[in-house]
Amino acid sequence: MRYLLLLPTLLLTGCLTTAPKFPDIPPELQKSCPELNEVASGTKELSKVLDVVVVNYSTYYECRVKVDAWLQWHKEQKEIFDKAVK
Amino acid sequence: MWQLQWVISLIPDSVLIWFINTVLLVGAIGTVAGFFIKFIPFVNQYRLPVQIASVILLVLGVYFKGGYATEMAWRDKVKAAEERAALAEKQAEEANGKIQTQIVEKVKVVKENTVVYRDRIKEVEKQIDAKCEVAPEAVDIHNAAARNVKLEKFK
Repeated sequence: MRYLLLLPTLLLTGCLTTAPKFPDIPPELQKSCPELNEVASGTKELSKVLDVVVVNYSTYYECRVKVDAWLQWHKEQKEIFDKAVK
Repeated sequence: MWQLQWVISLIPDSVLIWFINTVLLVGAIGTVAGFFIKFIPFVNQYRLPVQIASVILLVLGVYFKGGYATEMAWRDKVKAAEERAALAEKQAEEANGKIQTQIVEKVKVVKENTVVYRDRIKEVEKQIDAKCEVAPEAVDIHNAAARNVKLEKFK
């Protein structure tokens, strides 16, 4: 009787599939976009404001690279997956 | 029923085909022998049981042979699916590596450009600041926009 307990395990093994493993995300895409910088209160020099603006633009472009990479990642992985399971 | 098929799928091909061929061969030989057994004295009294058993074995053998062909077709399909899955995993890994490299390169360009812009600001700092003084309201608006918070109403 106790050997019957092994039966479900044996039968469930039949449920194993040959679908490809879900791919890992590249490490660079696992980081969130950072917060934007602020200008220190009381700042009167335009050059300092401009400096913060430039850094913030840079942050935007870094984030855009990641979003574009996400879109590319999804498109490529979907094509690979669809080919594998067709 | 599928459990039975799955258990059969665990049996090695060589053992399976050996068993099926044996059943088929014994059935075929027994069926043919059944016609001639009547000429052999003493043994001919077992003619009917031999014929029945042989026909049953022959039918089973043919049935198993057909089932074996189907089983082999399924095993080929599973093997092909496993190969496709392995290829897909390899391709996915390669695509990940390519994307990772692209991100690093593009971010590097953005950072390098930022350094150049900031250096330029330092170079022309005096000219920029000479003709303009930033109002505190401008800083407040900028910071609110950077934090994406609501601005208080202008008084």
